[in-house]
Amino acid sequence: MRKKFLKTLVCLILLLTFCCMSLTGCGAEKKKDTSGKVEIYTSIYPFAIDMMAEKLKEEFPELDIEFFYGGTGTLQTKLAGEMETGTLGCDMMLVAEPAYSLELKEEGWLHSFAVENADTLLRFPYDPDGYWYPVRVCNMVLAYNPELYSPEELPATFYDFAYDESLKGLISMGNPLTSGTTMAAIAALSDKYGYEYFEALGRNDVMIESGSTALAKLQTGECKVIMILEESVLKERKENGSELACIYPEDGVILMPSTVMIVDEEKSLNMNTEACEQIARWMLSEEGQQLILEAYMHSVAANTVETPYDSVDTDRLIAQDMGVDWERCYKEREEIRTKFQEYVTVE
Amino acid sequence: MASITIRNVNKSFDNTMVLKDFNETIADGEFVTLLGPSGCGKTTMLRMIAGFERPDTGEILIGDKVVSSGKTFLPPEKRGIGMVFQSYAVWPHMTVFDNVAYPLTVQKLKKDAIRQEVERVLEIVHLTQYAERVPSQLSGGQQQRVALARALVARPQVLLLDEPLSNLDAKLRESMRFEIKEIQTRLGITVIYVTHDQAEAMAMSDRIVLINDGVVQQSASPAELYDHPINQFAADFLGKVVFLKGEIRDGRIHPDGTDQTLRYDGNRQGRIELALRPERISLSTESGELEGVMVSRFYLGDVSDCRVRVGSVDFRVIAPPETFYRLNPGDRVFLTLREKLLFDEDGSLEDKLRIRT
Amino acid sequence: MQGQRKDRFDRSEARCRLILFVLVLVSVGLIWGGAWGVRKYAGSGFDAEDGFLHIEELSKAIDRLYDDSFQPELDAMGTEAASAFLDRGYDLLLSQWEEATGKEMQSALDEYLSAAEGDAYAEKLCKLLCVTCSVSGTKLPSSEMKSVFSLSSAEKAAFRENLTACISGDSDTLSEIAAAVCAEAETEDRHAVLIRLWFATAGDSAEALPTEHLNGLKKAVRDPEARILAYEMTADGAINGFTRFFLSNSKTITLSGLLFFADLLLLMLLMARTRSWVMDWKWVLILLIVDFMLAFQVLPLVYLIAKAFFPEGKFTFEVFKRLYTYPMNLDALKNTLISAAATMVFGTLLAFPLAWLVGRTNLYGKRFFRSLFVMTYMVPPYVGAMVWLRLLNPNVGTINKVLRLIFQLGDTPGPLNIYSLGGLIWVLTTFYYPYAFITISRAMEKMDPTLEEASRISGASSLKTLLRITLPLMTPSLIAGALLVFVCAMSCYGIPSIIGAPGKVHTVTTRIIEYNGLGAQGLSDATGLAVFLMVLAIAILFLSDFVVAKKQFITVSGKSTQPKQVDLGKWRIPITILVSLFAVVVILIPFTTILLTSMKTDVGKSVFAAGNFTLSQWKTIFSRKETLDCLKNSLTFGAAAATIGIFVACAMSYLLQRTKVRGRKIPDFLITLGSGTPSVVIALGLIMTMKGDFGINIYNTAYIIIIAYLIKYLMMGMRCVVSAMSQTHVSLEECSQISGASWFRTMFRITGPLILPSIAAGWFLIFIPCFYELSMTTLLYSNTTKTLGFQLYEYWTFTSQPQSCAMAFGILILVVLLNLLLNKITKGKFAI
Repeated sequence: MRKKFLKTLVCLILLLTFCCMSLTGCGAEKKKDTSGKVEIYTSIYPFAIDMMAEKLKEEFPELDIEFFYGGTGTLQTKLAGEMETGTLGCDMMLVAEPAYSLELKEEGWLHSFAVENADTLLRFPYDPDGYWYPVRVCNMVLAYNPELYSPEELPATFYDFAYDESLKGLISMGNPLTSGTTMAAIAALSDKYGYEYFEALGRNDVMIESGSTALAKLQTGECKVIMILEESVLKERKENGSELACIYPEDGVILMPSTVMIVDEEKSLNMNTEACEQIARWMLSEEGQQLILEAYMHSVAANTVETPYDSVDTDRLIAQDMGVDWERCYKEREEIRTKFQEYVTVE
Repeated sequence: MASITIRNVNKSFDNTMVLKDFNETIADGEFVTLLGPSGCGKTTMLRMIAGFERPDTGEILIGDKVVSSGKTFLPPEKRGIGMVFQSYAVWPHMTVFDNVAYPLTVQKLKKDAIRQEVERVLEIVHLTQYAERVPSQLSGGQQQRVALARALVARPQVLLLDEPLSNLDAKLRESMRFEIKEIQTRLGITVIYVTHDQAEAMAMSDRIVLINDGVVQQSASPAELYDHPINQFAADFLGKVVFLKGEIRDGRIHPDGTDQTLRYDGNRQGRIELALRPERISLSTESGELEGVMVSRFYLGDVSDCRVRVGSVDFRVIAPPETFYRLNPGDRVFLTLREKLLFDEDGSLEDKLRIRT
Repeated sequence: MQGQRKDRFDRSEARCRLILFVLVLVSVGLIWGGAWGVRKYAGSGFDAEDGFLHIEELSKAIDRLYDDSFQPELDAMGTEAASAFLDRGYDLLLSQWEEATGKEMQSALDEYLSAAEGDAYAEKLCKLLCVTCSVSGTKLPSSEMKSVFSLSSAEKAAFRENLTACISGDSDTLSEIAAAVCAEAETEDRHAVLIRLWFATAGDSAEALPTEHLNGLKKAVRDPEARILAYEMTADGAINGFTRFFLSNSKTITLSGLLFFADLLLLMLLMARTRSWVMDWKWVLILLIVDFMLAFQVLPLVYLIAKAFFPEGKFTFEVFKRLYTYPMNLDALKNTLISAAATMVFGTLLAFPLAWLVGRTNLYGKRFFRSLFVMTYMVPPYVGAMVWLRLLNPNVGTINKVLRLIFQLGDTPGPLNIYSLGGLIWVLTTFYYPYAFITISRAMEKMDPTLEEASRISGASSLKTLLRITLPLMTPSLIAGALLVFVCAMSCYGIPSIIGAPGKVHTVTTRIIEYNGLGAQGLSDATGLAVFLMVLAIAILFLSDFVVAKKQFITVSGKSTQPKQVDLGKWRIPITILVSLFAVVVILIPFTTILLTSMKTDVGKSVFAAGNFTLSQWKTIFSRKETLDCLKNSLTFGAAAATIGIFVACAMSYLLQRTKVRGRKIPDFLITLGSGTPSVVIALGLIMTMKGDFGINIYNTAYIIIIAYLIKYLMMGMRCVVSAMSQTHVSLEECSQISGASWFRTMFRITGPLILPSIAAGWFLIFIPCFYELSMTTLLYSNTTKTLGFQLYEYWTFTSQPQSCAMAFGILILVVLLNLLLNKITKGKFAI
């Protein structure tokens, strides 16, 4: 009796396995290249991707759009691997580190396209040859927990963040190896304050971890102040009613106009640049920018008064912007990374 | 040296009764065997004496000391007993010497004293030259002797043996029997021996406690047990036996299956069961109590094992070896029963008739 | 009679030899054909082998088009018009080719066309033109194209006539549609556009040439000169299917051919050795397994090592020198070794007494504790690390807060700091001691209890018996368990990445992942580090399996007596309390923390604070489509790996237990090696070799993940089945054989059912770690193959702590349920 039962169970399991496998379709890379497919690599947060996918479905019902989500570092590695084979695995990219666009343009991976009235439409720089355009603005700021500490006790500048010794062991930031925005931020900071800034960070025992971990540490009080993207804080405030607040550093916020890039047709996955252009234009449209705002990021469209939930006026931030030398960010990326590693992540 | 007293011990495992109302006293220096078929509870009893199991009720005393009772329980290491296991339980990671010396090292004796004692016992079991060997280099018999030496080295009051010879081959078994008995007599230790082999029990014991299904059937010397078994089980378990049902009428025994009758001088009436020892039936071509026909005979070297049919009943007879040559199947033979054991059909011994020729 | 028998035997022997011979020929044929294909492919300049496939399909389509449209229409044009048409076409073709290559192409074109005369010339030119225009050049506006194909056949015919006339210069008025197309094309000259339109609208269906293959060809052949070659091949006509097969799969064929050939050689060697030329299907099965291991395990690992020593083709220690003189790497090395060693020591120190207490004494609640202690094995280590962070961080860790309160330490950070080597060791220990616990428990159960009883009766107390008898006898298992813990701790990624990194404690595994994120050079650096781990793992495994195992004392008891329980006496309650305390600290507190955190909004506040309790995290898990997809993936991959794995395990255990073949230890060693190799290394190796360089391209598919799981976790199931088979007596099978049953039947009707509980247990032992695996999935996943473990990692890194806690607890519940299921099926005989 038991043997029979066991036998049946084994058969069922095997059956289940085969059914699942056939249903899954096993995610094989070799899809049919029917027109109307677009693959987008992006480091936008999954919830934002969901929103965007929905809107795009409405806007382009005949298009089959797939998003691949990964952190900037992951995407860069994936792309590096794919570059060796000569074709990329995507048609479009929305990556957080703007300097990456410069790099890809120089290496000839991108497809240029025109956007009407770009100079009046956008309030951030775009590539004159049409290889990339900014679609969203990430904003690196400091954050704290007003329920545990008052702003007077806390640093008002990025400089103090590193140099104020009372913060030792109580600060946190992202990992520039995996996070494109953090990479941009440290490029800007090393620009402004030199590599000694990294040394100071190291002396202050800054913790290197993901944004969500850092936020949790703010909540528990394990960290007093953290360097984080404004959008993460705004999301917490809106969705969970959190009290966590941003400090807009007086020595400048770090604005990162993240770009949209279309892969050169010959080198893209589905060779559907027409559709990609339409998508990119949609992103720059009012509707697209509305979505960006809902995803807690600032809009790139000029004359937009609206800000993401609870934030500060964008134009004011632009005025305060610390400014990043994007060329240097990408040309000296290795050096910046290595210096950071050596000063900050080693005892 | 001490006596062992077991009073009113009961034990069950998982709702199965393993031992029932066990009451025994083993005198100092006695060699007592717990005998019975597999699963009868003899090993359990032994382990209770050793201290590896606790009785549900009752008490066990070694000498005057209560070692197991409802209130007290003395752990095995404090009982001063030696034990030999069926699987020898010789430790593979120690030499013979270390194995045997172990009980003494536990007592923290001085090295010289230990050496002396170990050599003494190794001498007794004839293993002196193997002292530095490792068990994996020894044969089964030698390992068993190591176990024995280890059990004896601390001069225990009592020695327990749990089927120690059942893993050895026949010839070795026989010789070890005598060795063990000889050691016991020489040292005068009280021994409790567990086995299912009745020949072994008979050869070595002063007394045999026969157990079946957790109940003591009979507790007596081998001779007593053999000659006066208390019931069919006892008769059957020791030696060979032939059972025959019948009836007592008009002063004679009428066995079922034949018209012939046997003499009877007792007081019983009604249905009985006859138990006959094959070696106590005489075979003759001339005369006897019963007349029958030889059916088959087997030559066993020292005896002839014969089957004789009387009426519709087959008698097994152990006859002298020449019978094999002198008599053939189909011959008419006569049987004389030198000894008859009678039991009620429910098994109690009432009568015994012994005719000596 | 004898002669007849010999005859029959000879015949089957001869048959066997014949079959083998034929197979050898086939394999040689494969190798030869494959090699030819490889050479052809290398010379073609194609980027992908399947270019040949697309060429074939396009060829067929063009042939059809030519027969259906081009030829009749050309004929209808009349000789003069046709030749003018063709001249125009020639010009267009030439300009396209020269534009593409930037070189002078006339001679090449003429050479190609010179072979053909008259009609054949027209045919060649047309086909060339058709394919060139379709592949290169900008696309024609889709709306116009659609309208063309929605014309009725009469209208279409008229449209094409008009086109033809315009192209050959006979007419100047274009049809509406054609005019519209011309207007849209800004730069190209009118004729060119018209000609392209003419070719594109041929035939009846919405696309003249199948887009799938057009795009495929574009991708497979990028170099412009190679493209031209491709056009010529297309125009030449369809390659026959057989040739095409060899061309487009040349590498795979060569590889398979080589393996097949090697197998046959081995088979023949075996047969010659045993002098029995009968086809024994067992060997085939086993050879298949060896092949699999060779292709998917040995190859990647060897490749890795080769890459590390030969980064650019020359043998060099450069990579190693550079890597190992970098202080951060040296640091990482040191940390890895220290933490692994410490974990090994502490883990074993913990596991042994626990195993003894739970297995041999009358501790209260033994069965409960046993399941509990094994529970941490079922939890992703990542999760535990998250929790210990919460509990032991120096600033506001819960345990620290409590300690400070108890010992009046004031407000300074500490006393315990999780962000340290010590913290890392602590978490590693709590996670990996179950491995030692399980190994030791098993061995303890099998030990002959009379060995301990003899010690007791000799006067030694329980404690003394434990130390002087049990412990020495258990030493081989202790060592095996300890080494297992060492290897696991050393290969762990999840825990050091969460705990180590913030505290600047790096390990080799975290460095590998970091290097992996640095592009191509990073990859080879990662390899260099990986080699270190691999070598260490191999050395240890070798030690454990071949040295220690030899010293095993055979202690399996004969009589099946219950092992005597040691009575703890007056120590019973205190020890139970101690053990409970341990269980609470190591298991209950972390798990409860996970559960509570999963229900908070604000991590810093208590779950009972106003407004802080929420089930939204849990809702999200069950509602997000992605989570369900991940669950499906996890189940599928795990089940696939487990099922295949158990088949392999059964075959292997048969090989090991029931045969005396020389070299049967080799697959066993390979399998053990696989499990000892750090996950990261396996994944890296697979990435580098499975992208098509060796003919197998499973990168970004589910297969690569399943294979990775298989390699890593096969051993667990195998050990289970092997031990079960060793306990089933061979006489049972021999009896079946004598009764006339074939080997397969015996396996399925006799052995199988007898060891079925072990098979089930082995299945689960493979399934469960695959289910929540993280390290390999991080490197091998693609959009459609994300698993639960990976989803957890994503939640942790990018979403929120409460969300990831909910996920983690969910996984835990699932795994516990599965374990209960296992328990039920095997009637309690096998729980992990």
